[in-house]
Amino acid sequence: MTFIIENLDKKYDHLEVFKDFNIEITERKITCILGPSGCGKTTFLNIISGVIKSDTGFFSGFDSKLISYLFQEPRLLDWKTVWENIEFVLKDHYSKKEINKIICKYIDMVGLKGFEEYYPSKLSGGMMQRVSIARAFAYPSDILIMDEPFKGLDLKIKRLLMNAFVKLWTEDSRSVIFVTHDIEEALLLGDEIYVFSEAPVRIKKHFKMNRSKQERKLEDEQIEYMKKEIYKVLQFVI
Amino acid sequence: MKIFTIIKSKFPTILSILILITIWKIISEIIDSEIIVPSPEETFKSLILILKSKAFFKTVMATVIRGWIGFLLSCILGLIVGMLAGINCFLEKMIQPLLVVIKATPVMSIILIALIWFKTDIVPIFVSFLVAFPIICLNVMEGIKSVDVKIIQMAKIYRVKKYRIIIEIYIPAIMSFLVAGFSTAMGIGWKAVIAAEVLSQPKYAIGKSLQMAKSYIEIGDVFAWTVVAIFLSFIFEKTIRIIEKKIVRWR
Ligand SMILES: Nc1ncnc2c1ncn2[C@@H]1O[C@H](COP(=O)(O)OP(=O)(O)OP(=O)(O)O)[C@@H](O)[C@H]1O
Ligand SMILES: [Mg+2]
Repeated sequence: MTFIIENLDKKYDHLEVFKDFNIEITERKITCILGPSGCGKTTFLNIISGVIKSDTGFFSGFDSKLISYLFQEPRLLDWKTVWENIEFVLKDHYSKKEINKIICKYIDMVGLKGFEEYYPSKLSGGMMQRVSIARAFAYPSDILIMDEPFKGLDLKIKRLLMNAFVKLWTEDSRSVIFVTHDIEEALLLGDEIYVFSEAPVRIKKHFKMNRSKQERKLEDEQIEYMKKEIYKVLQFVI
Repeated sequence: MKIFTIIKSKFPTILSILILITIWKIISEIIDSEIIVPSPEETFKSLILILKSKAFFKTVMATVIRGWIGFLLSCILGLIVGMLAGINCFLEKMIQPLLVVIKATPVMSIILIALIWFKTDIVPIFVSFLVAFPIICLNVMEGIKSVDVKIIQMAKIYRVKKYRIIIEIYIPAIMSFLVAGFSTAMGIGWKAVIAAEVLSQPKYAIGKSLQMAKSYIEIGDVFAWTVVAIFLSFIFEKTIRIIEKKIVRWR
């Protein structure tokens, strides 16, 4: 099954971000979206998650699906601790015992063991980002939407989180839609890659990756080729 | 060591109070008339006599309870109306002129009108309620508006139930504004209660005691009761600060 979006229109005042835009997203795969800054990637995620309304558009496959959305900013509750922030989204779905187990698992996964009782005001930006990653992963969603999840994190933590993400995804294969500016990240994690153009958005490139994530290497010939193609589209000079 | 640091941190406050008393003393020496400006010692003597008097506790408690009832009423109503107006734009525009009118009405007018409408015991309660209500209400509205729409979006995406959004997002967001509102409302309300008591003359009341002292030209007593009123206000303020620390410990 696939998620289908057809004839999507979205206008902000005078800016046409989407005009008759069509895209299909495969279920239980990781779909990466690349594109120039300000082209409409966040707008796209907001529309499919229902945060904002499109002007017109046909959507299929999204009904009654649980969504977790890792926003571009952490969006934590200042008056709740790390633990309580994650508990906040789980309370209606699990028993108390299950919640404890789940929160422990995900706090450990993002490397924040020992910070459970901290309030967001006492955390660094990257630590807050990790709490919101833990919150999105811990939530029992069918679709996981992520807007630049690993930005502003140092290389070591980024690796750690990417590995954790792949492991997690292998366990439950959720449908993941994932915006990033990091081409290599997309090449390593994505099953499908879309490259968006400037607004009004068009799909400039669409790649399907055929090798499994575990055996993918950046030095691979095919991957090198894709990387060059994407660079070209995004008008970078190598 | 610990006592020393406490003294050191409190030193400016102590100094300021000492200077105030000194100025008071100097003025009373210059004017040299116990019935216009009693000296600090005279006032202190009067204060001791008042504290020892049988009716003291009853008098103070009567005023405090009146103040609290009015304050509590304005908190409950202010919270409900403020929340509704904070969420609903139409209601906000409806309530806004009313709040402006109440805030602009001189406290004396409110007291005089209340004297016509109510029994003597009710007048101070009504006045403290009406003075505190717009302050609390406006603070709650402000608190509701301070909630970031992005946080609400987040909660909705994760399908958090509506009542939990109110209890776990709106209420905590209001709290710090509410506590600030408490502090202002309490200060103004307390003064209004005593003023109302001066005119309405309930059986036991700080305001009435002030008025009596003035009638008998016991100016030392007027000062002493004033000191009592200031001290109580100070205690309330401190209590609110302690509550604030407990509530907004996440800051
Ligand atoms: N609420 C809004 N009102 C008006 N214009 C908006 C609004 N939100 C976004 N835009 C405009 O729409 C365009 C797309 O914004 P969007 O946030 O979707 O970009 P993006 O692709 O996520 O960019 P980035 O990679 O920098 O995050 C931008 O030009 C932006 O100015
Ligand atoms: Mg964006």
